[in-house]
This record gives sequence, C-alpha cells and structure tokens, in this order.
Amino acid sequence: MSAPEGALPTSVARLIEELSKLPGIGPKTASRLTFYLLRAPDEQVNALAEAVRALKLGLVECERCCHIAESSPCAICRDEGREQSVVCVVEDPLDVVAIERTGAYRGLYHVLHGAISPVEGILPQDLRIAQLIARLDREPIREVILATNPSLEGETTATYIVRQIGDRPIRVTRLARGLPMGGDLEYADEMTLIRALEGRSEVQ
Amino acid sequence: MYLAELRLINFRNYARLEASFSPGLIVLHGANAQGKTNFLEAVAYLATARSPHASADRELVHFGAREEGLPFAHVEGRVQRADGLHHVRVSVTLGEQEGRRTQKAVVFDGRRLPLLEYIGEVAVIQFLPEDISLIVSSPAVRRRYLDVTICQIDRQYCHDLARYTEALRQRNAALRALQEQGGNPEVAWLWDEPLVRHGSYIIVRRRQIVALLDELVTRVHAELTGGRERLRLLYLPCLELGRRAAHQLSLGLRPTVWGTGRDEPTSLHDVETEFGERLRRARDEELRRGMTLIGPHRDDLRFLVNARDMARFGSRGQQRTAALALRLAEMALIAEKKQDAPLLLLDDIMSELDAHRRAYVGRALEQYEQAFLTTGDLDLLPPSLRAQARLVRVEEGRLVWER
Ligand SMILES: [Zn+2]
Repeated sequence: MSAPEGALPTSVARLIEELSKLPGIGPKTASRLTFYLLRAPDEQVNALAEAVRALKLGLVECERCCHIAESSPCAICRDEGREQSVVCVVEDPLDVVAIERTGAYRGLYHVLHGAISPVEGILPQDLRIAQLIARLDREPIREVILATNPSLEGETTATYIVRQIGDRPIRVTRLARGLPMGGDLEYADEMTLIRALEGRSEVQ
Repeated sequence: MYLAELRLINFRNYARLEASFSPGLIVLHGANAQGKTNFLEAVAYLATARSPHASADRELVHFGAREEGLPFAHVEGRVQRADGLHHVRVSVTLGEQEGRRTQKAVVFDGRRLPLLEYIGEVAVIQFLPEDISLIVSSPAVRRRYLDVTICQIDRQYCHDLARYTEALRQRNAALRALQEQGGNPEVAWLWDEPLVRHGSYIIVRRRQIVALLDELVTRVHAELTGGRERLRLLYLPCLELGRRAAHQLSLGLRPTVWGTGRDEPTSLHDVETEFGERLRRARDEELRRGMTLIGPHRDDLRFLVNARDMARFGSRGQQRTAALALRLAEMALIAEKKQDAPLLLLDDIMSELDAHRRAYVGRALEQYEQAFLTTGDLDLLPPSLRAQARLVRVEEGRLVWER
C-alpha cells in the first residue's frame, strides 16, 4: 500500500516502505514509526541509523561454528578454557545467546541457520550440516548435543544429522523434553534450559 | 452439559447479544435471514473454535465492527458440565489492514489455551441441512467428519492429527521438488518416521471409533426405518485396501470383505510396521507422481444399506436417513465417552423428514440435557416436543422469548 505520488516527501515514503518489509510490521505500524522518528531528537535518529548501518559491517560467520560474530573464529571458538570435545548444535544464533545466558554450558557450538523444511524450500544443503560433519572429522569432538527445536522440523533435522554422523565414535545426545512442544529455545526460560541440558538423552 | 449463558459481540449479524438458557429444548423460529443459523453457528464456534459454515474466521466478524473501531468478534459462554460451571471465550481479531492475518484466541476458565488443548472441553453435535454430503460427497468430507468426532473425545488424536498433517505437508513438498528438480530422495524419506508414528495412531483410533459408531448406527437406523433396512458403517483404511481392492469396491463388488478381516493388523505396533513397509514399497511410484500415496489422508468410510453402497446406489431419501442415523449415533457415542450429554444443535432438519422420523428425533432429543433447534415452521415439530419446548423468535439479530 503506497501513498499516491507526491503526497509524501520521498524520504518519508521510502522509510515507510523499508520498515514495512520487516517481519511483523504492517504499513500502518511502519507509518507510525516513521512519524515518530520524524519528531524524535536528532541524536536518537542518528544513533538508530548508525546501529542499522553498522549491523552488517564487519559481521562474519565464524568459519568454525558458523555463529554470527565480529571476527572469525568467534569469541566462543577462541576461548581455550571451553570444553573442546563437546559441540552443541542449534538452529539459530539466538539459541546460542539463550544457552550462554544460563551459564550452565561450557562446550562449543555449531549453528545450522535453520531447520530442514521442504515446505519453505529449506533442504539439508541449505544448512551448515556439511560443515558440522567436516568438523567432526577434524576436531577431537567426543559428544554432539542436538539442541534443535522440539518442532517437527527440528526433530527431523536432528534425525538427519544422526544419520550423517553414522558410525563415527561420537556420543550423540538430544536435549531432554523439558521444552514445550513446538517451543523455541529462544523463548525457553533459563531453568527449563538448564534442566534440558542436564537431562539430555542418548540417541542410538 | 448445557449452555447456561451466551454473550456475543459483533458475531455475524449479532452486534450484541446476551442471553441465559435453562436445560431442555429451545426452539428458535422466525423468518429467514434473521439469525437462526448464525445463532447455532455461534454456539458451535464456542465449542469447537471452528465454524461449520465460514471458510475463513474473518467472515464471522459483524460488518459494522471495523467502522465501530472494534475489529473483532467475541463469543463467550458459561457451560454447566457434570463437573461444574465453566467459562469460555473465543475471539477473532481482524488484522490491522485488509487482507492481513486474522487472530483467534480461546480462553477457558481464565486461561488462554492452544486450540489443540481446548477441543473437547465443550462437546457439541451439529445436525446440518447439508449432512447428506457426509454420504455423497468426497472422501475428504467423511475424513473430516471422523476427525472432528474423534478430536472431541481424544486429545491425543487431535495432537497426532496435527503432527501428521504437518509431516505430510513437508513430505509432499519434498516429493514435489524431487519430481521437478531431482536430487537426493533422502529428504523425502526423512519424514517417514513422524508420518508413520502419528499416522498409525490415527488409523487405530479411526478403526475403533468406526466400529463403535457402526454398532450404534445400525441400531438407530433400524428404528428409523421400522427394521426394513440394515445400515452398516465401514472403515476403509488406505493402508489395507491397496489399489486392487479399491477397484473392486468401485465396481460394487463384495464390499463386505472389510471390517471383518482376520489378517488386519490390529495393534499400534502392527500398524506401524505395515505402514512403514507399504511406504517403502511405494517409493518409486511416489517419486514419479510427486506425492505421498499411502496413509490415513487417503482413508474413506462406506455406508452400506442391505449391503448396497449408499453413495452410489442409495435414493435421496435413503441417503438422508443414513446421514441422520449417523448424527444420532455420534450423539450417543459422545455422551457415552464423555459421561456427559453433548450440546445438540439442529439446524432446520425437520422439514426434510417425514412424520415418523420427526417423531423419532423428538424422542431422541428428550433424552439429552439441552438442544437448540431452528425451524421456519413450528407446525413441523411433533406436538409432544412442541409442548415442552421454550420458544424463541429470532428477529434481526435479537432473541424474543415467547414462552
Ligand atoms: Zn565460532
């Protein structure tokens, strides 16, 4: 829904259009945000613009764990104090944040960037699964914790990874089902996550 | 159970409605398009959070709601069950803009519940004028009938059905992509495990429930027809049929071979094994056709009167009687399983029935706690029924109590 030509200054119309492309934001909300910014102090608007501009500048995907970071390898991968023989496999970077917040996990991560979902056109080759398998062959990893979401897609992705790991001498575990069905790690509270990490179960 | 109070805001042609009801028969009458059917739809929506008529929830919101600045519809009620009084509110909120997502929320006893966890709290049986389509329409209509019925008495079924549907969607998308672009078929077979796990439960439950319904329906139907006809309800699972048997059935041959077989897998484990095996054997054909060919999404039901398939060989009257018998059987099944009478909603069904069947329905209703019945013509009610009913005239989205 765009305003008739000339009804709004180009800069205003452009911001409305860009904002309404964001998830969960419709044209109405986009207009409200735009007019809010128009009236906001310059410093606030500049800070936002700078934050948006800096977002992708210098951001890279860690070559080891595929987490989003300012440098590669990322801070977690560089931390030699962490347990190097355990890898926790998650769907999204925000899942890393959720687990780190608990402080209960001291191993490494691997970020898949999604889950297998043919309906959305996401196939195994679109995820960082090959990178994970390559890591298993290169690094001294003894345990893989599959922490994909307990949704149908997350479960199926876990199944796929188990098959790819095959008969490598690695212990494969799945997060315990303290998590609500269909729930995301991202939204799980810390106690639930800690319990899930403690109660993880072996996958044969 | 019975509906003690109902409150509507912006539901269909009811801008506002507040009403209290006692147990017993409540007859809604009046001219067409005044809101009789919408009233029943509201009660059904309260119980199932699904409309039997609207294809999208947004159709339920009163046309004036948006102008009024309240772009939502509320259906709220108090239901007296055997275990006490419960409060339910189902609301539909329109998206901010035309064409944006409509949201639905169910609050039961003060707690917001996911739909899957609410279904079955308030049991309802709907007799609809289009019930004949249960007999004559596509298998999808009959599967949906089974699903709605079983979901009311088994939450696990509801859960497995949702998961099965999701796994099926993923598997079909994978098969379609493989058909179009090729690739490693592993991405399709990955979904076999959830498909088999959830699908097998669906098959086992459908078989059990159809067997129960078959017993009930045969008895009810014999009474409706004065014992002249014998109605059987048969479950035709895709899993056991195979193409050859399905072909024989389509020719009207020996349809009694199902539902009685000794070699049918019966335990959940047996069904899982059989299902998995059949899926593996169908792989080549599935890749060729780009879709899942085996599973409960291809099940069907058959209605046989004196061993003749009603869908193909029944008269209109026979089909109507079979559909009525099915609803009456469903009513008995739900009452038995829930140990509490379901709410009954009968939308203008009397006009299609002869005096004998009307009298039978009247007697059946007397055994239940509460029924809402609409009619355009009060004279169609059996006198004994009319004598004990409370009468309500429906006028432009308002209820006028007459007795
Ligand atoms: Zn890293």
